[in-house]
Amino acid sequence: MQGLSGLVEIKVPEDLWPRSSGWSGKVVGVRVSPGDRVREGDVVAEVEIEKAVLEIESPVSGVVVEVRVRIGDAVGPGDVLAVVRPEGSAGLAG
Amino acid sequence: MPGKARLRVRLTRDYLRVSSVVRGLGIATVCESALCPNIGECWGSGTATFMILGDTCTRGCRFCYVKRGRPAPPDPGEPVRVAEAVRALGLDYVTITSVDRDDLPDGGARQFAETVKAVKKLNPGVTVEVLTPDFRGVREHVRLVVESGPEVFAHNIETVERLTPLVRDPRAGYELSLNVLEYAKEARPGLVTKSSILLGLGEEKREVVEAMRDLRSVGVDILVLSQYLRPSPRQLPVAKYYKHSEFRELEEIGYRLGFAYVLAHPLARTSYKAREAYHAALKRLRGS
Repeated sequence: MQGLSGLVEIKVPEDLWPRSSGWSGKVVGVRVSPGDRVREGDVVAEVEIEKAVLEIESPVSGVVVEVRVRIGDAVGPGDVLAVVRPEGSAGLAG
Repeated sequence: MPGKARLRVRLTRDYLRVSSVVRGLGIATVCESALCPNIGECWGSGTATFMILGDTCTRGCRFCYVKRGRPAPPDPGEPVRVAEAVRALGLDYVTITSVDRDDLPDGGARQFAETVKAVKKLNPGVTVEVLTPDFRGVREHVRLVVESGPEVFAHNIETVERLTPLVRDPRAGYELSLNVLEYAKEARPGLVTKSSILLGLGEEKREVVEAMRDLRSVGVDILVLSQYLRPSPRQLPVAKYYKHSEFRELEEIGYRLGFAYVLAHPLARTSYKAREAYHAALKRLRGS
């Protein structure tokens, strides 16, 4: 999850139903913007699938450096929703 | 207005531990195969529902997300692997279900029995709940599973009588499922039996009550009522989202009809909070 740059990609989890990857959905909520501070557990985006609305949480505290989706975008397991620079990380941008 | 469930998605350490154990041992779980909305909660609390006899079902019920096709022959190593998973996860209550196996002469009954025995042998003191297919209504197959020693025998009627031909595979049947539950109870009268009804497929309230009465008439102890959630556009659409007050009303009716325990909740599934349901039912059964 944490790349060489020190940045953390927040994804639609591939492991939510680990061996069922055929599901997909639509972004129905984006709760953060670049520059926002997030805490571990804050909801970053909402993805509606047939069965439910998934509220995707940030796994780390830090600063949002990029938001990769907009409301209405189609997404599936593994797609990146946002990128966060974790607190205490001196990681390079980009 | 009630609508889709909202699920907080956070893959905790406990969740990843369950994932690692079931993947490592190559065991299917219905949690994954059915896109269960409770997977985060259940796996996050260290439990899972194992699905034996593979992940491919011979039937095609129109509410279900489990893959349909021609399954592989039963894996003789599967019972021991499930038993090892129960030990690795430290479970004291385990639920075991399966796909339908109309391709097998015994419908998979022997594999169920072998799995229950293996789980009990490797995990003394564990409580086992089985959620079985209908074994085409063959009494001997039901008995084989019951005699392997599960504490709870579950088989789902799934929907009301009128909607059964629309919702379930043509090989399933309303009467047939009631018979299976009756055979299980007859095979061991003290056995706790359990069944689920999915709500929101177009049934009327009076039909739900009728189905509840029918389940009581064959001695079912635990009733699960839950909201049907469409897993993908390939399954039936949701005809209605039930309100919490409607779940409460049906729960009360269930207790009036004599169920020892009623689990009525939009996200309830047959194995959801199964340990709690069993102990609550047992308390009531012993008290009465």
